[in-house]
Amino acid sequence: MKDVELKVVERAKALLASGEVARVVGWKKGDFCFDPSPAVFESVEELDGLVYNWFCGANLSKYLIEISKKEGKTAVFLKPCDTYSFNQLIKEHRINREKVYAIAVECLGKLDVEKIKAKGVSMIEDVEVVEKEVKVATAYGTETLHKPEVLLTKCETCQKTHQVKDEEIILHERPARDVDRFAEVAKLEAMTEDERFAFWKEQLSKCIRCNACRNVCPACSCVKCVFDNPASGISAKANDAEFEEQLFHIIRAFHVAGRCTDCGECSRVCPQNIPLHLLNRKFIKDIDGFYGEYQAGEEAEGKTPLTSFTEGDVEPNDAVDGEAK
Amino acid sequence: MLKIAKERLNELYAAISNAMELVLPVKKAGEVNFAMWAEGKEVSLETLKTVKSPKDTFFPQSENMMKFKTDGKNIEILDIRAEKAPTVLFGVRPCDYKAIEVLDKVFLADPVDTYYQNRREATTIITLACAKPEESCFCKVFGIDAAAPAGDVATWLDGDNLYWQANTEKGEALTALVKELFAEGGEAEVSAQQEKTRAIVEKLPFATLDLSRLSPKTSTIYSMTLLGRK
Repeated sequence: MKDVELKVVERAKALLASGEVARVVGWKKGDFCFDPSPAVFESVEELDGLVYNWFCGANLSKYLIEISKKEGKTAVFLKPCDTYSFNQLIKEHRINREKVYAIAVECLGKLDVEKIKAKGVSMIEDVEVVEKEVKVATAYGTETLHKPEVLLTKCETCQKTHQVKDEEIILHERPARDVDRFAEVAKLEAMTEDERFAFWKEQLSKCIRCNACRNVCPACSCVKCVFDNPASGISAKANDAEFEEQLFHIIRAFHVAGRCTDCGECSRVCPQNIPLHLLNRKFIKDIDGFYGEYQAGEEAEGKTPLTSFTEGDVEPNDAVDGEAK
Repeated sequence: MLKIAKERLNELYAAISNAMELVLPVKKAGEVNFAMWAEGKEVSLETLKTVKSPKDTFFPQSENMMKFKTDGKNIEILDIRAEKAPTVLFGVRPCDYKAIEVLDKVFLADPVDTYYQNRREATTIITLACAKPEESCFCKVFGIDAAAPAGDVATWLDGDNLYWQANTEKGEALTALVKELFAEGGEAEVSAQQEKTRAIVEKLPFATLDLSRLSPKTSTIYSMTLLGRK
């Protein structure tokens, strides 16, 4: 991973120094080795703080909505999953593609520090990954963990490939995988209605309505969100269990249906670890069933299942019963 | 000092809960937060920090504060505050307890926030010392001793026992209520844990954070608390 980071920093510096781009969007070192955060770099000196490591899970695409309005070109590092969000935002005319220089950067899955800590590992100083072994150096000694157990949830079932690239930095190929990303959804579908209601009630009642899921979501890019609009009558900020359980997250899932690329950022940022991505995946699974396989963000243009009509479209009642064609 | 075996903690919760409401760190759908105890709840005293602080006990996110009665042009304000049920807040970390002291400086000072005061007075706080602080902890900078928390009762947890020390009258009253569950002793174990915890705290990356960037007003509130001035 160090070799990739060196290359990332080297390319960023070269692009800025030559004036090809006016700024670089990447990840900046945090207080620890495991908390880098998205950042804009505008000088070669600042780029000494650019990192690309096992904890760069954050999706940078959404930042380009505002940044691509600025003067000059912006270089951005995109992991495979990030490129789907990027494409979808171009399709929705939210990012100006002409003003972005997209660098496809390799990804072998990112780690979830919360999952590492949940294994009782604390005082983390450094992390090294060799194949499926994660070696965590801590003040209490070195711990070896099994990589699949400490991956970000969104990386567990990822089979995505870069959809956008003006150039690429790929030093290690990721082995192809065959995983079923709908396995968890199928488990929920197999429950009785009451069990499923109980599952979501327990999960969603943890919501503290911090709005992190909405803020990070690339599909949530409305200029004025209905939940921030005092005139809408539903802009509540206090967490009222019933509202969060039955409305907020469901409304959001409907709002992003057909546009959600399954980037998994909602679940990554949730401080209460609510598996929000499962709501979106259920919609994706249903869309696949009703209209044929469709992956949002694969194309930057073209028709989408929920915004086009054909005579063979599923009838509403069939959809309610969950009967796919 | 008193001690009780870890396996018997459920008996302690039940005994407290018989007499008053008991709020403590409970695991729900994978996350630990302060919640009302009931038989069968999964208590997690090992979790260093709950997702949310215990502040909600004193400041619920929403509450009915008053009612209005209108009669023509007259408006009558009805005070609907009821006596707050006696509550025990258990498992408050030293830093979270310090935060409550800071809240007291603001909300118990003139003009007193009587909603806060009602809850505060009805609540007995049992703190829990830290045995394994994490890299993100910075209690030392604020003069907080992670190994010796304040509170009505201070407790320490190790692999075998919970150790219990009443600090105030409220704490003594609660202790009297549950004393038969406890045995005497534990001073040596607690001292050993304290020594270990303090040594770790010294080595934490934020042990020497620079507080000069705090605004003068914020610094004053903290230093007042640290010096114990009212």
